[in-house]
Amino acid sequence: MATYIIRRLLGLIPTLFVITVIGFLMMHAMPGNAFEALVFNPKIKNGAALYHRLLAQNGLDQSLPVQYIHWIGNILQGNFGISYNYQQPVSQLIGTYLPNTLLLAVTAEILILIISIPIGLYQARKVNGPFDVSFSFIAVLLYSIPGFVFALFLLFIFSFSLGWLPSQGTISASGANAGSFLDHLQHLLLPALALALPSLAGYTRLTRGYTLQIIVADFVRTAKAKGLGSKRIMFRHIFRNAIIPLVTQFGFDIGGLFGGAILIEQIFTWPGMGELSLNATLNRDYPLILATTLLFAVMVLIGNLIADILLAASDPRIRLN
Amino acid sequence: MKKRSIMMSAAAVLSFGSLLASLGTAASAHTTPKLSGITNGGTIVQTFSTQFGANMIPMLDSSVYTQQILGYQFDTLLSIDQNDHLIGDLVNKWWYSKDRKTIFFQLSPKAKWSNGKPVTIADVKLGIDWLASKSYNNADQGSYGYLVQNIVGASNPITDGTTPSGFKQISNSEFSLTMAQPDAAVLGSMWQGIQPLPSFLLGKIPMSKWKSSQYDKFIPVGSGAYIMTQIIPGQSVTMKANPYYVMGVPHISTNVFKVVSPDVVDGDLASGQVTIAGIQHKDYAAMKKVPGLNFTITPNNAFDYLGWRLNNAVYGKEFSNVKFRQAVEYAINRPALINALEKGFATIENGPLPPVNFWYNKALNNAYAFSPAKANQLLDQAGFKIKNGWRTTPGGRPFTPTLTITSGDSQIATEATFIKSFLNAVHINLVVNPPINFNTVLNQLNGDANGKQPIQGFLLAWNLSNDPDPRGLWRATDNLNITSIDWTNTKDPAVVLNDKLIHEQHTAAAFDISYRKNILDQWQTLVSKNMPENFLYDGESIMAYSNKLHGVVFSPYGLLFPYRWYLSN
Repeated sequence: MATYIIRRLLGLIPTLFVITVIGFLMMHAMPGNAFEALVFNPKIKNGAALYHRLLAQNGLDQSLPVQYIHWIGNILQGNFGISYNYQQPVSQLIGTYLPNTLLLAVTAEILILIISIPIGLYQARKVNGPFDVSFSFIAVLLYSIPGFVFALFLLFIFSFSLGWLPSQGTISASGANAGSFLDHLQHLLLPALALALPSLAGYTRLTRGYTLQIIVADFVRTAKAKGLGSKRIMFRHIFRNAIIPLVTQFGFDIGGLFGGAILIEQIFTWPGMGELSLNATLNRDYPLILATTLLFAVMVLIGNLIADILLAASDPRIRLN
Repeated sequence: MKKRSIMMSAAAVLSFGSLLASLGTAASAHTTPKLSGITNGGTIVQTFSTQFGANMIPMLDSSVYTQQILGYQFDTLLSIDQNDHLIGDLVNKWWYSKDRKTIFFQLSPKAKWSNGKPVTIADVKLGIDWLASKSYNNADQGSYGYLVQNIVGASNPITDGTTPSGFKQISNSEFSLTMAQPDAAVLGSMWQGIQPLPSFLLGKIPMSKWKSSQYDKFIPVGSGAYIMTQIIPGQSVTMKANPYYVMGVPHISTNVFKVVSPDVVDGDLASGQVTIAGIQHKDYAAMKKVPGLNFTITPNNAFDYLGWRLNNAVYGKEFSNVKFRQAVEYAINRPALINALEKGFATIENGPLPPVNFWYNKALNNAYAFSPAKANQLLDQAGFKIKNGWRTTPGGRPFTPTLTITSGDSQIATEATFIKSFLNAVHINLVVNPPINFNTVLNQLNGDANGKQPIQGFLLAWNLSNDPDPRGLWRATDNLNITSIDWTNTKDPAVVLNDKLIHEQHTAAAFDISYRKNILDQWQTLVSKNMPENFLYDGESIMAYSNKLHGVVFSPYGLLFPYRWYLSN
């Protein structure tokens, strides 16, 4: 297993390199840059001179290959540069915003798994029963509605109408409860639900489908013939096998949830990587664009790696191959 | 507050005067109803539609929201009132030398920092030194260095910690600032905005280290109405009332600025999570039905315009013909445009200053009333002949000018469609290009010295500062003029007169307000007549606020006098 993981990790290096080159070139292909707006500030005495000075200060007057080599060299030393827009080290910004996105994505994943798998299993056990039919309908409905629509619905019901939960941020700005665990939880619930609901429906459908495939397998029939209890058959034999493709999907979704969080973060004013990367792109904040692109790529690749590792762990044939 | 993406907003052109005003000054103005007894205490929540910047040393961050926060925390030498007149703030008296080159200031004896220490001349000096310093101007972008550039000795960045020779301390409470030439606009558009800085705090740190100091992340003292007590990055800033505020202790004890998505701000207002915020015009009718909210509509000190690249390689000659631009102005049905796009919340704009501005020339009120007949007449006179239903250039070429619009705002696309139909009605075959990113528009304008960029016509807007000084934007040599419309042909007598009037409006004689107003009236008439860009309209902002909030003065320059606001039970 260790060799397998090391081999996969080494395989990430060329992929990341290609991603950095593509990201770097695409970023520079976008017209304009972070300092161009200064020229349009009528109060700056010599905007054009300031503009050129800032370009030089930030190395943007050099050729693209030179800029790229500098950037890669700095990255290898752990220096992501200074954000043009925030005027802060990029690593500091990521240190502030990444935990928020991680918290949101992990909570959403947990919600997805603890809700969808039991429902999917129960649907498979009671296939074509009233619960299965009605929840299949609900699942299709949930799956076909984008997360941001859920976000608005949830806000309308639980924040604006009932006033139970706050509509924005990760914690309250003031009040006796501000900053407490409960305060964090109250702020987290709605965005995590909005992020989880569409995937939750998908996972329920997958769990149901895979379980139904396994239920009719020969080894299940054998287990039943041996007189094993239905719970033992369900959890020892059916669930363990049905979960293998779900685990793979889970790994892929880790990267997907990061991307999916962008809109949700905007709506809930959740200061995470989505908002950071969007602002970086709109402001042509090159160091931040590159760092967030790299981070998203790493997240997707790590998600895939986790999926592969979990798959290998649960299915020995993967390792052998 | 509604922010059109076409606005060359925040980073682009919002000038410091309007920023300061938005912190606490006044206007044409509406005031929330007052109650007989004023209650002290309570919390209000205001909103930002996007994140604020993280640098809390005054003038360092380019974010308009950070400047707004710091404007609550650091008062300026002078403020402006709702009529755009200068009023005392940390300085309570000011007067001029006979030659008008020097302005004397007297600090208010009530001017104190939030820890009770008096605001001193050393603090004023530090504020000036900071804006004039090499550290600020060369390393930290120096967006507000212009505030002190007219002080003798500060025309170029100077060594950190040195003071421009035009600054003189006269006594413990009096100082003077001297300029090389008398300039009537300097006080209103520049020096009034200087913020004294706490020398007992920042004076001990070299300016080159300010940005990396702890105070750049959180600055615990201020001279303004509210002082920050907590910052949650990217989310909120909580501020407490300053017990030593120069104008008196604010009634409301806690003032919270929250970042709230414009998509949900209406819901937050309705549910009471936000006390006061701008709403979109399209939501006004629905929001009026929400109980517990009041509304105020205020014209913006800004305007939308249709620009033409007068140096364009393809049609620059045609765009440069004043009759073409006048014809376009007559051809556009602006009342219909305002009703369709802004639900009626806008005023027609016929010149370079919006009607709400104190300096606006009211004689322009009825210029360019919608008249396709006049438009056709002017185009005929200019030689744009009609062939197969469409006009050709006076030289006989097909005339198909393009209109560039920015992406991300469906209203701009609708506006472009309207303008196309209005111009089509006078046989101008305007082609609306697919929307492009705002940065791309800036890039094309900025790189169009030879007129060969694809941009021809474009829709943009300007936010203006409280002072009407046209320098920076309208003179033939101004970079902004060159990079936007390029109305710079100095062989054009109108451009020559334009530059002459702009010069005259800030000379020694222009210290007399009526004289300056007269010159600015002439200038506005000239620009309106020559229409170097097609002025469209001055939009209005709709503010919604809790009916428990009182004492707020709404103005084109922002919400004024926060220390006077109060909450009823």
